[in-house]
Amino acid sequence: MADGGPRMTIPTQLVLRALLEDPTRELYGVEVGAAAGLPSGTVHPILARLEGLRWLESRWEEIDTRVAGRPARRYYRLTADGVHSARAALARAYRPSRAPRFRPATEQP
Amino acid sequence: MTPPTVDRWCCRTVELAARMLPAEHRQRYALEFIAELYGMSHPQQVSHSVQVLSRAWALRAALDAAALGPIPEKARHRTRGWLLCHLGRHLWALHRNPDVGGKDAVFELCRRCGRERQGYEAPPPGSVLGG
Repeated sequence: MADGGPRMTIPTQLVLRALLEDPTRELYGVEVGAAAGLPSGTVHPILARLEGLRWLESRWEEIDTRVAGRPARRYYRLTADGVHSARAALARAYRPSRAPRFRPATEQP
Repeated sequence: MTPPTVDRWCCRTVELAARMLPAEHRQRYALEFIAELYGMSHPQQVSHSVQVLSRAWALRAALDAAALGPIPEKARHRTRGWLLCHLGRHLWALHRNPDVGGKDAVFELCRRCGRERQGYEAPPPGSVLGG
């Protein structure tokens, strides 16, 4: 784990992978959950942790709420540093599964 | 076109989740959670709001951790090392006291906490691998 980086749990890795698919794209919480394949209400702690580390930045959607008929959403995006840090952290977190050990059957005398 | 509707109880649920957060973050997350309910079907709203509420403590912990700043790796190792030593899982290393000769000169010292252990018994000859 990088010094000061997040714990690279599986949900954290899924969120980072989803955000890294297109680092310039902004997503709101539910979209992040859908892209990561996680339940929609469970991603906010991960997003808050990543935002605290400055890997993510967020902003309110700029819409006319009367025209849109809904409140503004909070959109998240990886920062430039976040893209590098996330890629490096994911590379470190990747552990190839051990190759199966094939042992030749030993014949009993 | 009918405006999207949000279930009142789902709104209350996510507001309750936001109320469990540190004061400076409550309003932001209340607005964020409510905005996310728009565009969802009623069952999705129920599921989403319950999940948000169930993860409110985790979100609070994440926000508290972010306010404290990242924990340096050294401190993490120190904490883990302290815990292991506290549980009796010391990292023993053999040392020799130059002032004392013979068998009593050898003792064990924990590399993490500095605790000493006397009574080191050398393994009998021939018991080590390849001996």
